[in-house]
Amino acid sequence: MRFVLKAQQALSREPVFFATSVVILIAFMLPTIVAMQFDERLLNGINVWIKPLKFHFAIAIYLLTLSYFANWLSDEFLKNRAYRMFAIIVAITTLLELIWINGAALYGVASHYNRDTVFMQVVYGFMGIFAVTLISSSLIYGIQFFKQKTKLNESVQFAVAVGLTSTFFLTVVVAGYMSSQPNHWVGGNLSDAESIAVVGWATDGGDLRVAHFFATHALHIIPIFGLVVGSFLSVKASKWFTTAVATGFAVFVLWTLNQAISGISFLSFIN
Amino acid sequence: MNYDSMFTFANQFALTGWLILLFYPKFPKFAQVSCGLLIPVLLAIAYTGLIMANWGSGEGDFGSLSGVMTLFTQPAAVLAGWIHYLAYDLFVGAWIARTAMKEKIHYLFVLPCLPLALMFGPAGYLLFNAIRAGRTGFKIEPSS
Repeated sequence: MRFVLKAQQALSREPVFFATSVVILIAFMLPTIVAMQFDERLLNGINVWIKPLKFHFAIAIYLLTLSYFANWLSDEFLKNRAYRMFAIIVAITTLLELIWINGAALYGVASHYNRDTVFMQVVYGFMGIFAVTLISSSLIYGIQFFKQKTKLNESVQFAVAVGLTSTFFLTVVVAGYMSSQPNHWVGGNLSDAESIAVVGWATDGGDLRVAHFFATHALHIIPIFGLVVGSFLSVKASKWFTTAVATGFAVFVLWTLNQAISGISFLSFIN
Repeated sequence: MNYDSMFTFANQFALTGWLILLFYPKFPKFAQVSCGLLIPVLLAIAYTGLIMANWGSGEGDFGSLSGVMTLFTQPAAVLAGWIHYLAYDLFVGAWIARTAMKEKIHYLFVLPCLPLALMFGPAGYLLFNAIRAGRTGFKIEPSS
């Protein structure tokens, strides 16, 4: 119980993001886990509820990460009217996104890439706008971490700023490219049935979701690097190092994108 | 998991709650958390998941009696409906016990209401409110 209270305290600095995550985890994710046990319908060769489940989990982690980072942002920023409005808009677009993904699963049809009917095509277009809105929160936070004077170690703060902005730009580039494609596979058997465990990426061809995954996780990976190198390098050196790591990471993301476009599976050297 | 084992599990789960409720005055806090919150919430999760899993697969609707009857020819819909009863009845049972304590109604009066609420939900709710009305002469507060 004490641990739960501590976790809640650490993750609820941005109350709207915290509340949205809790709603996602309790009202979306738990019933979906039950539905998966009883529903035998498949989409792309796997249970229709696997995709919604992955989105619930991923989006909750994303929002909780931002809320955690908000611990080091000023009250002045977090209580600002325009920002409060923005946080609410992010929460609403996030929930609409999940309602769309869950709604499609309810009827056993695809959400992303579904251009079967005019309605679904229009909705898909809106979801693109909503997705950019929700990911723009990492840019807004990134800018604040560049601008504000926080209580964080300077090298860590820099890594958080770089990580957050990287998440925004890399995700927009990768997901933007993905949405221009007919689906997330390149070559292969166009099924999710044979795939890498947990993440579910194709093993017999390219999978554009690999690059999206890494792009969006920049806000975790780069700050962790900053935390490690910041503990033994000078501020100046660790900032250089973080910049180099972030550049390398961006190259890696684009490499995974190119790999998928070439129709090669992410772990092709193992399989 | 199949529907039969889910049914058995949900039933036993709810009955555990009713058993706890019977001894409400002994440990009101624990009974309230389990019967007024935890068990109904878990049943609600099961209900929602069942509805999600069977959406669009069945016939029938809520618009007419025959539509509802068609709906309830499917095991999944009946199971979901049953869990709906279990969750709401227990929730109401916990409310009865809590309200009785708050309004200092002797627990002996609650005891006949609870089995009634378990077996015939609204009838138990009705009896309890009738008892409240009998005591206060229709000056009863709305449910809270």
